[in-house]
Amino acid sequence: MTIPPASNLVAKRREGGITRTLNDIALITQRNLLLDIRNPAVIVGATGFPVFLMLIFTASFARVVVPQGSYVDYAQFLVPLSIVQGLLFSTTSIGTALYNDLDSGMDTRLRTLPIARSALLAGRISAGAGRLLAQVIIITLVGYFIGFRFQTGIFSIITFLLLPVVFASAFSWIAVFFAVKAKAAESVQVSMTPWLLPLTFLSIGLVPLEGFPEWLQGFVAINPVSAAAQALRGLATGGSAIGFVLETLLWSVAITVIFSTLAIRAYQRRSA
Amino acid sequence: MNSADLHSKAQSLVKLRHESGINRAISDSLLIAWRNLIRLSRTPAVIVSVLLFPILFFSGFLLAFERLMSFQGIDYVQYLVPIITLQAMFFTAMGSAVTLAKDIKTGMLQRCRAMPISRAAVLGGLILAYLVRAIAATIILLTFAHLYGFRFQTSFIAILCYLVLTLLFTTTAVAGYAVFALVLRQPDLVNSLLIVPYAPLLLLSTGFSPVENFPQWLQPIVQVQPVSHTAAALRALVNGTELLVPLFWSLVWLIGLLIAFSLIAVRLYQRVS
Repeated sequence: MTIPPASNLVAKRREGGITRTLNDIALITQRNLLLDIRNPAVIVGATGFPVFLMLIFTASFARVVVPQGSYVDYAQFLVPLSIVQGLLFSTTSIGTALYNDLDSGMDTRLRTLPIARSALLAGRISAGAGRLLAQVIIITLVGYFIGFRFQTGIFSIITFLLLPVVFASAFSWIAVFFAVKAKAAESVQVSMTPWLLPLTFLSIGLVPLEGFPEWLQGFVAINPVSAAAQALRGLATGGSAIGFVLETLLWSVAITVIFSTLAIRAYQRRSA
Repeated sequence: MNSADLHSKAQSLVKLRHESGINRAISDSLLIAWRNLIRLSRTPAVIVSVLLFPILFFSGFLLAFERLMSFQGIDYVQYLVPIITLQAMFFTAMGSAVTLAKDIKTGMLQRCRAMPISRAAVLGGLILAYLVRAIAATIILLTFAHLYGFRFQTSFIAILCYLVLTLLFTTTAVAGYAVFALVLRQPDLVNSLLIVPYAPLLLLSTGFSPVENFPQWLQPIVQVQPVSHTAAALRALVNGTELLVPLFWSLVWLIGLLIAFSLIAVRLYQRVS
């Protein structure tokens, strides 16, 4: 019997094709989610931070921001930002997780397998989305405890829970891009935090627009975090949310398109 | 030389080694401090957090709350700088905890324990190195705040006292976080739990917002905790207001905690095997 030459086998293996790609992404997603589920401390730890900040900010700044109102009023105002902020900061841990895959040999292993080459990155993003969704739910539940309430219908509530996941997933691509470029595990955090902090602080999330100095109000108004926070506020409390929801989605799509392209390119160029 | 001889020779050498004495403690601490400093200077993440984080937090809080605070009659630039200074000191101490946890994991601490060096040196060296970082962070922050219009309304001596009190706070914080790291040991665990002491102490204080703004039931806690007293004392040194009461309570807290943390830390270190 004649053994077919190896080059035939290599030529036969399919790494492309849309079904193939989706299957591979699903597989890697499943692997990542399993790792998360078996190590829930990661999600709880990552959620602890925004929850903590939300509780403490409510206690210390409610009377500054809404002098005539109660703590409950500020909780209603603050929960959306806490969700957006918490999720944006956990994109850093998604990027770091990808860095660990690249660093640990997982990536080398995958590159020898006939699977879609985007699977490692996309699988990380979609598993990350699962992580983010868990966080949204936890933060919202804690928000309920301090007086946050949905005053809208079921459709708005579902959008409320999913929109931040879509928005933060776009930022996950930025973190993933930095992770592919990174040379040390800490550098993902170092390249994300310095601009995430001002982005989340200088938004209509902690404080209303009128609280900021005039020269800054322009930036605060166009800041995507402001759009996301206002969209969530609309979805929770009622009022016109559609415009902000669309704005948030537009930002998400733009960031996703740009940074997924950059990240996949950088990944292909990176020698395993 | 037979083995009994060897044994008694070893015994006499062990007896000879000095692990105590003040000179010994100082020179060993300096040596370990130098090692820590070299390590700090080679970590880019540290440099970013020293330079950038205090400035980012200062700008963030100032821009977001200055106007709203002015409705309560507070000049927020002058109010905010002390607590951001203390926040930078917390970051410093948190960095020291991570360093120490890594030393435990890699066996550096066991190595130090096996050597005839002062038992206080590991903690002392850690504190000294991070005090250098603290001074750098404070000077950078004060310079930056100056650009926003922050001014000391008092004398030069008050500025020096400001620095000294800040450094005392750092010493206590580093000692406290050293206990934290020696108890938890795992770098990942230390890293993820760093904010547990930090966030409530810092934010549930009168540093960012006066006590009247807190819920009634929380006010007693907010008022008595060490960060509130220290921030109040620092504010007094900046603005020339009533100093003695907050300074007294701040010193009581900081020195008391420092003694307690140091004793516990040295104890825990001796148990590292």
